[in-house]
Amino acid sequence: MKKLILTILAGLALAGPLAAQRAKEAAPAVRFQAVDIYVDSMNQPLAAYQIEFAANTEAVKIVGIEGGEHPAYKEAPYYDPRAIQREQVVIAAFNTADADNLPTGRTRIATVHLQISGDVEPGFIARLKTAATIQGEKVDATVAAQERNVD
Amino acid sequence: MNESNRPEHDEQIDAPRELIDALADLHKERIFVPPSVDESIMAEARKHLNARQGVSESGCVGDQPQQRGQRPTPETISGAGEWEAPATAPKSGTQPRSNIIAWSGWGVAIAASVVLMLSLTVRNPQRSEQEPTLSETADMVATEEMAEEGSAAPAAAEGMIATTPAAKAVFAREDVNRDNTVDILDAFALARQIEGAQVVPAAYDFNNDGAIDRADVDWVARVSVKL
Repeated sequence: MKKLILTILAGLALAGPLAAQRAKEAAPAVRFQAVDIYVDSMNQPLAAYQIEFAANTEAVKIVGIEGGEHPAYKEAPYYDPRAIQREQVVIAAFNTADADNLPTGRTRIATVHLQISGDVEPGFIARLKTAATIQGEKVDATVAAQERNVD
Repeated sequence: MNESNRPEHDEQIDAPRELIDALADLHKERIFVPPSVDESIMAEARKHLNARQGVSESGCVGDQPQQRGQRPTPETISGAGEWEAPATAPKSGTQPRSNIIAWSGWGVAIAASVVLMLSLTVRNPQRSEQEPTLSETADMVATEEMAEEGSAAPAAAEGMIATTPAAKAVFAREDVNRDNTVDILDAFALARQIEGAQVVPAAYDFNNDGAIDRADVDWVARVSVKL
């Protein structure tokens, strides 16, 4: 009788870790990635911008958005909170400071943090909707999205 | 039933025997009424009832008192002096005049309602084409005020030049710079107006808190990034 009980307990002790291992193998791999958004306003001071950002797969979920590198855009930009846990977002910001306190040229205006499920290599699209100078005049700026791995 | 109305109680009346016999013999005798007296009573009754009928015809809508449950005319009194049951419905196929008058009143009311509804239905499309709505009016007033004061930011002024009230263009309420697009530049234009201590139209109190401030700028910005 004692041998039977010991055998059952030993079986249960071995079955637990094995089941956990299989569950881990079945679940899709999840990783996190950051995408930096850059706007290049050439030689014009960037007073306002609005861009659309999207991933090409639903395996990507936006989990956070942070501000840029220049003090004028250090704070997180405007975005719709419903974009969190989705794969696309519209972000925008402005600053009414003098031209001397606004960035010119290429500058990182925001960083989008993503959660990627599965073994996929998603693509990203960033499109500039508008950008303006301190006078409110639209400028011919360009936008770029650059991936950055998160440790 | 009341206690005093019980027949048993009536039978127990203690009256003199002579009185009871006299009352019993009263119904056995037939009192003679001369025909002249009878005729005079009937003539008075006819005269009285005719007078009542005349009042009824002049004061009421209908002219058939029997149908309204009124007392019958002398013609409906039988020779035995009993009331005949009044007719409850006309025997002919024609409508009573009172019903016709009542229905014609309803018809006039319904016709008037239809005419009123048609006039409103026809008028509304003209209003929507020619007259601005309340919000459109507010927008145009705001545009006029800003244009007259010259207080708008350059971007806003640029938008307004192309959208004079004569053009009657319709803009979204948050389209501050009037470029037919609600984006971050509208929030930017409003922020510049507020920070520049310029007179800002009351229509830009988007959150309806009685003040036009940074909260209204944030309102426009949030609208511009809405998915």
